[in-house]
Formats: sequence, C-alpha cells, structure tokens
Amino acid sequence: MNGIIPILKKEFREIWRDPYVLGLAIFLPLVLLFLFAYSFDLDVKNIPLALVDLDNSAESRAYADMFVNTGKFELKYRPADPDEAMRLLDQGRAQVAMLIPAGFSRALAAGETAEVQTMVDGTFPTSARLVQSYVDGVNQVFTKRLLAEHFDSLGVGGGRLLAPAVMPVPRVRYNPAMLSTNFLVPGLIGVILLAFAPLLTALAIVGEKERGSIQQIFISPVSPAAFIVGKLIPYMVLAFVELALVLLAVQFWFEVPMAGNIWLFLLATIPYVIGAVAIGLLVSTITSSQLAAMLLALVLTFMPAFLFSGFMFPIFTMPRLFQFYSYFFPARFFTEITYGVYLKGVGLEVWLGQLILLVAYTAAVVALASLRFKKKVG
Amino acid sequence: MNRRLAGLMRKEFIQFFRDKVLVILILYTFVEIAICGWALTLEVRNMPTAVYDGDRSAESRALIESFARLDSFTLVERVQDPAEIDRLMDAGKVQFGLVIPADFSRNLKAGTPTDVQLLLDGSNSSIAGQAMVDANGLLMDYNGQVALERVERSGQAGHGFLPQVKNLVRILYMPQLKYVHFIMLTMLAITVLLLGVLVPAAGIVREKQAGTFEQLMITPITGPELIAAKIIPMILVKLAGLTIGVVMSMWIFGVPLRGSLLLFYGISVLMFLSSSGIGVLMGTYAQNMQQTLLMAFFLLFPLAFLSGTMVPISNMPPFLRWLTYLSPLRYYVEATLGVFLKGVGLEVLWPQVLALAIFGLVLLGISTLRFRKSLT
Repeated sequence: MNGIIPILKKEFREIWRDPYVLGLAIFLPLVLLFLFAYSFDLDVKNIPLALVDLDNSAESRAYADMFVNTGKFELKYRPADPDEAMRLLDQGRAQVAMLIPAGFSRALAAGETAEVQTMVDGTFPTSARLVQSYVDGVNQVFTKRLLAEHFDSLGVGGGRLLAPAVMPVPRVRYNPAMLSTNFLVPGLIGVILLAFAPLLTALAIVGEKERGSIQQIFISPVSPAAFIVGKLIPYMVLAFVELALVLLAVQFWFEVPMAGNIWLFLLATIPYVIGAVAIGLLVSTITSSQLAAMLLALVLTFMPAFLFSGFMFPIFTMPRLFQFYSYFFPARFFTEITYGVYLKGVGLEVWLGQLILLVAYTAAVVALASLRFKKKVG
Repeated sequence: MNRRLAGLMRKEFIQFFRDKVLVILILYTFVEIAICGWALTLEVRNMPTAVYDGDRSAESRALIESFARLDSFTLVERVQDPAEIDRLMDAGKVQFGLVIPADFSRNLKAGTPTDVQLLLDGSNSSIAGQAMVDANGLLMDYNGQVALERVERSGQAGHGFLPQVKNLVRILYMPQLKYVHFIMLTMLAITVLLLGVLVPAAGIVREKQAGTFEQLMITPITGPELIAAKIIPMILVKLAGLTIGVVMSMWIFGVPLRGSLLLFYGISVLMFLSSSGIGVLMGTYAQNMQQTLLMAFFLLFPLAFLSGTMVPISNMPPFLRWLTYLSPLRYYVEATLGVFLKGVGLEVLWPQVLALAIFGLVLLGISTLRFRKSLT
C-alpha cells in the first residue's frame, strides 16, 4: 500500500476544489427525495370528468352527484353532446366521460334497467383500472339504494334480502395509513447510494484516463492497490455523507417511523456502499470516455436500483426471468433489508440471507474490478 | 447545404463512431426499453397470497377460487392457522392474506353477514391500495350475486319490477389496458430526452477541453453552422436508435400505431432539437465533462419526472402540476401517446407541437448566442 496517503489527499483536494460537483452530489439526492415524496401517488383523485346528462332529472343528478361526492371525480365539463365529450377525451382534458341518456329516470320509474355509458381514457392503465373499479363501485351502491327503496316500499324487508353476505375487514400491516411516503422515502435510500457514488468514482478515474494523467501515476512509486483504495475511499466518504443527510431527512422531515433497529440497518449499508464504489471502478476499467462511463454506470446502477429492486415495481409482478435478473444487482437485497427494518421491524432472523448475499456480491465485484484494473496496468 | 457544413458534419460522424463503446451503449439504451416493457408494471398482478379457510365448505372454496382467478392474486399458501399468515408476511413470502371464518356457510344460509378478513402488506402503498380495491370489488360482486339469488328465491323478482342502473364502462385507446404499451412509449420518450441532451452536451465539452474550438473559430465557419454540424449527425444517429425502439415496440410488444408515423417522426425531430438546445446550453456553462454529466443528471431526472410518465400529472400537487409545463418531455409524451394510442393528428396535437417548436427555437437560440460569447 505504498503512497496511499498522498493519493487520498490529492483526491479529497480535487473533490473539494470543485464545489460544483460536491454541491450536486450532496444536493441532488435531496431533490430526488423531495420530488418523489411529494408527487408519487398513484391513487386516483380529481379525475377530470365530462358529464353529458341528457336526462336532466332529479335521478340523473343524484346519480352524477354520487360520483362527485366520492372525491375521486372532479366534474370539470358539461358538454352538450357525446361528440364533444369525445373531443375532450382526445385532447386529454377529460379522463372520464359519462353519458346519462334521455329516459334514465323514466326507465327507473318503470322498474327497468337504465343504461349509462362511461368512457375512460386508458392511456395510463394503472389509473384507468382504478377508475373502472370506482365507477363499478359507485354504480353498485346507487343500484342497491334503489332496490332497497323499492323493497321497502313493497314492505318486504329489502334490508334483509340485500344484506351483504360478506363484510370485508381489511387489516393493513406495516404501513397501516397506506402513506406512499412511508415506502418511497426509505426505498430511495438504496437508489441514492447506488446512483451517485459509482457514477462519481467512474467519472473520476475515466477522467484521469482521458487526460492521460493516470499514466503519470503508474510510473510513480504508487502501487495500483494504493491507487484504487485512495480513489475509492473519498467517494465512500461522500456516500456516507449522503446517507447521513438522507437519513436525517427521512427521520425529521418526512417522519417515517422506524420499526426496527437503525444500527442493524447501518451495518447493512457498509457492504452496500463498498459494492457501489467498486461498481464504479469496474465501469472505469471497461470504458474510455466519461460519457460512455456515465451511460454504463446508469445501466449497471441507477436503472436496476430504480427498476429492479422492488422499490417501485414489486418483484412478484415481474416475469420469472426478470425476477432472476434482479438478483444480479445489489439493490434488490438492500431494498428488502430497508423495508424489513423501516416498515416491518424485523431483524437478522428474517434478512440474514439478504445480508450474506450482499456481502458476497460486494466481494465479487471488488475482486473482479481490481483484477481487471491490475491487468490493465500490468 | 453548403460545403463547409458538409465537411464539418463528416468530421462529426467520424468522431462519433470512433467511440465504439459509446455507440453500442446508445443503441443499448433503446434495447433497455424492451427489458422494461417486458418486465415492469405498476399494477398489482400475481400478488403472493395465503389463505386460511376455517369453513371448508363448497361455498368457501368457491369464494377462494374466485380470488385465485383474478390476475391480481396468486395463491401460494394454504395455512392451518390465521397467525401463520402474519409470519409469512413478515418473512416477505406473501403480501396478501384472506381469512374465512368457520361460520361462513352457516351465516350465508341464515342470511347474516360474515366478516372476512383481508390482510395486506401495506409497505408499497400503491400496490396495496390496488389489491384492496380489487379484493373489495370482488366481494362486492359476490354480495350482489348472493342478494340477487335471494331476491329471486323470495319471489319478489316475479313482479318484473327491479329498478337498476347498468354502467357500461368502455376503456378507450387501450381497451385491454396493457401496461406494456404505455411503458414502452413513455420509456422511448424518456430515452429520446436522455440521449438528446447528453450526447450534444458531451460533444461540445469534449471539443472545449481539447481546445479544438479555437482552431475552428479561425476558419470561416460561423457559430450557427458549427452548432448545426454538431447537432444534425447526432439527430440522424438518434433517429436510427428511435427506429429500433419503434420497431421493437410495434413488432415485439404489439403497440398499436393508430396515427401517422410521419407526424411522430416530425415531432421527434422537434423534441431532439429542444433537447439538443438544453444540451448545448449546458455544454457552454460546464467547465469539464464531469460537471456536464452531473448537471445533465441533475436536470434530466426532474424533467423526466415532471412529464406524466411515472405519475399521472393530475395526481400531482398543484405546484408540481404547474412545473410540468416547463418540461418539454411533457408535450412529447402527450404527443407520442396521442399518435400511437389515440390516433389523433395535428388537429388535436397542435398545442403540443407548437410548445415543442417554441422550446426548440428559444433554447437553440439562447445556446447559439451563449456559445458565440463563450468563445470570444
């Protein structure tokens, strides 16, 4: 480990000298955190609704009101005819158009089935599916009320006939209030740690390659091992600074409850951060320009952490092949540990396996990266 | 096109293709879209489910089966003790649990309601919410059916007087609600933005660091020509990548093309111009490559986020909703979904096209000005 201290000093000085990069590295994770926490909510609300009420009766108004009163729909347009409603959907100004035909109240008074048409914009499928369920739900409640009134008027005890067979009693565990911040904010810790540290590491080393200054170091008495360690440590320190800031924000700004043991969690971050910077080193041995390094780092770190860690997209929804694919990236194990600690309050007895895999993964990447690096030097 | 410009463009092409890893990576980013399309969904499906059936009757089995038939749930465990579901959930083996008590079929015959417990892993609240909506919907349908049977048996239906409302829901544009179509198109749009900004920014900074701009400035080449020569070859390469993405989306994933492909390419060129404008502008500010790339990262993420690709814009708080108007990607995504899924043309999409054109002109204008100033 000859000459590790000078390399460390040089690297820290270089990071310090470019306050711009330093600022971004520290500021950006927080921006990410806030953007996500405040806007990622897939539940539907304020769905812009265009209503064509051709019946215009007390019943049709009661029917439409029921939708608005759920708070899910926002009555934004009252076009005069269905064609105009269609145009509003095409332009994306309305997401749902409902057509109550003339004769709605007449059909109900005659004891027949009145038909209502609803058109839902399907371009965002997740919302469309929820909208469909809400429309069905409101419609069922309305119909049930009609039937109950009818049976009561006959005096046959509609209440008994229409009593529900089953009453759903939901019990939501780990995140009973179903707050999206409670899963998004801790889930982002893994993404943030894997997004910036490897990228900065790779850029720093490839930058020296591009400028040619790496050759000067190799002809100096500094050993390759010292060069690697000296290059990696500053970025690990940076990653831990990011971690500290993010944890503070999670705790004091977003007030996400921590059900488990924080020290156990911090233990898991150590192999994760080492693995992250080692991926950066690996990337630097494959690429020769900073742009290529960035793209490769994105493909190897940020994208899998974001997409295949189970943070936003649950792994059980993926095809088998990609459930398998997700094992190739450390973010999956780390995310499982994060949720175990933050939300479930479980400890090593549940996620020891994940921790071992994480350590093994890190060891493998470190070995591979140093091997490739030494080969290049030698 | 004059000869100077042609010569410069040839140089750009040669320079661009020299970095093989980069070219492969650019093409690969469009392949990555296919991976996403294949693997990712924000919808609940195949949620591992554990069931406790305390009743063990034909009725309870039928109810469990109707759960298993939904795409949302996959039955993985039948437990003998309701508490076992909690343990399975702690270990992450199941995300959903259904508890049917012992008196279910007896209550059903007596006409009294039974409490059926739904256990949910709420960690991912959006998935849990969808699962809850699905489970409640199923139980509601079940109740409706039971009530209808009771009414029929009671003889009240004989009067032929049953006021009901039937709401026929029709899903437009994507009747099968294939998430894959949505994600393919939006990832394509994000990739267009990503490469559209990154590649020109990196190109400019590289030349700045190498000091070759000064050499170019003493030739008769003008600033706008230089920028055009930088941007046009890149746009051609990116259009090739875009074509790979479009072909994959349509042939492998069956994304329908209901509008005009020509219009889509036209809009894509506008989008490339806007994003190149952002890229060149960044290139004039940044002092080195590291700064450029970090700045790109810093800008791209919010731009992508504020476009309605990950979260519907109507779900955002008002402040962020307002900010989405500043993201060119918002207009591009709307136009892409419009052309492919809705099959609408310029008569509907003109505001988006206009917005992209304005973004492109303003950004390229400012960046050319800044570029000239930064050299003299």
